[in-house]
Amino acid sequence: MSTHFQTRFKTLLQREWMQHHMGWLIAMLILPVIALVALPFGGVQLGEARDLPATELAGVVIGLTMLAVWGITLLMTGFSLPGLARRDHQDRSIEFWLSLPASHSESLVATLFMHTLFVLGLALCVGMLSGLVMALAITLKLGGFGIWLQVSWFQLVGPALAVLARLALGTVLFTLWMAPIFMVFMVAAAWLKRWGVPAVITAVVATGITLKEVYGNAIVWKLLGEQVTGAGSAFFDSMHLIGENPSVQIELKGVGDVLGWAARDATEALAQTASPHFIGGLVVAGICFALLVLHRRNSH
Amino acid sequence: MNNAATIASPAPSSTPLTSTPTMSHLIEARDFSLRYGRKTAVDNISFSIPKGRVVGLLGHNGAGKTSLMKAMVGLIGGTGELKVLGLDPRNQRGELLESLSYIPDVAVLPRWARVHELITLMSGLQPRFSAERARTLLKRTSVGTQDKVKSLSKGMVTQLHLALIAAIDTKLMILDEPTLGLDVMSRKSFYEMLIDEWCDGERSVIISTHQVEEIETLLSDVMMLDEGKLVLNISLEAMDSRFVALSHDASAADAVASAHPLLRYRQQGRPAALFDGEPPEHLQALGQRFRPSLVDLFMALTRKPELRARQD
Repeated sequence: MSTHFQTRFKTLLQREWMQHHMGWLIAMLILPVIALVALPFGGVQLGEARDLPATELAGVVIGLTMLAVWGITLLMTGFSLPGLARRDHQDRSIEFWLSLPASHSESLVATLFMHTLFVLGLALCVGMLSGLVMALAITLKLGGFGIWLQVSWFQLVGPALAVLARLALGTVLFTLWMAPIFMVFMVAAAWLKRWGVPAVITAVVATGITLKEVYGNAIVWKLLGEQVTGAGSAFFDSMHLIGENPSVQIELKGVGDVLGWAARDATEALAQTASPHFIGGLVVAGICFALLVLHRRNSH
Repeated sequence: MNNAATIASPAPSSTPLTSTPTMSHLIEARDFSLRYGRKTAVDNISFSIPKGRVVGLLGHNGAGKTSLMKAMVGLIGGTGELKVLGLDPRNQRGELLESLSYIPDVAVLPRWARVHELITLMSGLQPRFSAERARTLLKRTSVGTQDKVKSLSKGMVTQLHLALIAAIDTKLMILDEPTLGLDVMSRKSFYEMLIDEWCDGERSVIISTHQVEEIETLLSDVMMLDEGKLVLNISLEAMDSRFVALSHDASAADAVASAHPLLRYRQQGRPAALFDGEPPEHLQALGQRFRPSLVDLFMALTRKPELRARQD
C-alpha cells in the first residue's frame, strides 16, 4: 500500500472527524451529562443491583452506561447513515471533493468506517469513561464518600478491559451483520433521495406480508430476524447465557471469571459468522457498495 | 451557420499553437463527442493546447463548455480521443487529478469547514499542494485561516478557492466560470491573483466565462463552442490578422450587406461589419478598418439561427 494512499485515506478519515466530531460527542455525552445533573435531585433506580457490594455496583453502573451510550450512538448512526449517501450533494461540495484525487471507493470506505465502526468504538470508550464518572457519582449518592474507599477500583480494571475488548469485537461483528441493512438504506437514499428509506420499508413490509399471508411463506421476516438476531448475538452474549435464561445466575466471582467469559463469548461470536446469513449479508452489502460507487461516479 | 462551418474547418491561420512537432500538448482531443442520452453536448471536436497558454473557452449557456471541462477532468466520458497530460481522464482520473488544478464552481467549498481545515485536507489529498504557499496566497486576501467557509462572502470564497488551487504545483489549471456572480472588484482581484501568482509561461490555464470583454486582455487563445461544435479555435494574434471589422456610413449599408459579413452591428454609433478575411476592396474604400473585439466575434459566430435570419 503506497505511502500516498495511506496519507490520502487517513485524510479522508480526518475529514469525517472534522465535520462530525461535535455531533458525535454531543450524542454520546448528553445522557451521562443529564443523568449527572439530575442525580442530586432524584433517586437511583438500579433494582437488585443496588444491593450489590460496592465494587460490583460500580462495575454494573459502568457497564450500563457503556451500553446506554453505545445504544444512543447506534440510534444516531442508524438515522444518519442513509443521509450520508447524499450528504455533499445538498451544498454541492461533492464537486469540490470530486476535483481532488481520491477514488470513489476510498471516499466511501472512509465514510462508512468512520460512521459505523469508529463512532461505535468511540462510543464504547466514551461510555466507559463517563460510566466511571457515573459510578463515582452514584456510589457517592448511595453511600457517601466512605463507599469510595470500599470500591476496589483496581479490581475493576481487568474485567472492564475484558468487557471493553469483547464489546469492541462485538461492535465489529455487529456492524458486519447489519451491513446489508445499512447499505440497502444508503443505496435507496442515494438513488431515490428522500423517498429511498420509505420506499425500502414499504417494499419490505409489503413483500413480507404478501408472502406470509398469501403464500404462507415468512421468508422475509425470517431473513430479517436472522440478521438482527445474529447482530445482537455478535455484539454481546453470543452464548445466550443471559438472554435465554435470565434467571440463571452467572457467578463471575473474579477477574478470571470475567476474562474467561469474555474470551468464550468472543470465540462463540466469531464462530457464528460461519453462517449463510452472515456471508449472504456481506454479499448484499458488497453489491450495495458497488451501487454507491456507481452513484458517486455519476455525481457531476 | 455556413460562415461558422467554414471557420471551423481547419485553416492554416486558425491552426493554433502547434509551432513545432516536438512541442508536447497538455490537452489533445480528436473527434471527441459527448452525449447525454439523445442530446449532444459536444459534437466531434478536435483541438490541442500546448503549455504556456491562457485559453478562453467561450460559448452561450448550453454550448457544451462545462461538459467539455468535466470530460477533461474525467467526471464524464465521451467518444473519440481525449488525452489530458497524456492520460485518459476517465480511466486514469485519480492519477490525472494529482497533476492538474480544477475549480468546478466557486460555490462548492464545504460550508462546514474552516480555512485551516481545508488547507490540512488539501495537504493530505493533493500531493502537489503546498500549505505554505496557500497561506502566502491567502495573505493577499481578506480571508483568515480561522474563518468558516459559510461566513465568507461569495468573493472571499472565490479568492479562497483560487488560493487553494493555485497552491497546487501543476502544469494545467481548468476553471469553469470562476467569477460567476462576483462583483467587478472581486473579478479583478481574481484575475490578478491568477496572472501574478500562477501563470509563468510554462503552465496553461483554460477558463470558461461569460464575461468575454473582461477576459480578452488575459487570453492568448480562444475556443468558441456553439451548440457543441467548435466554431473557432485560434490564437488572439491570428485572430487580429484574420478578422477585419469595417465601420461605414449608413449609405454604404447595402453594399456592405451584399458582401455577406459575419456580423453587422453598431460601433460607437456607426454601422459596422465584421468579415472573416479581407473585405472586398470596393468596400474598404467605403469605411474604416478597426480591430474587432472578442465580443463582436463571439456574437458573430454564435448567434442563434433565428436572429441571424432576421438580420440577413
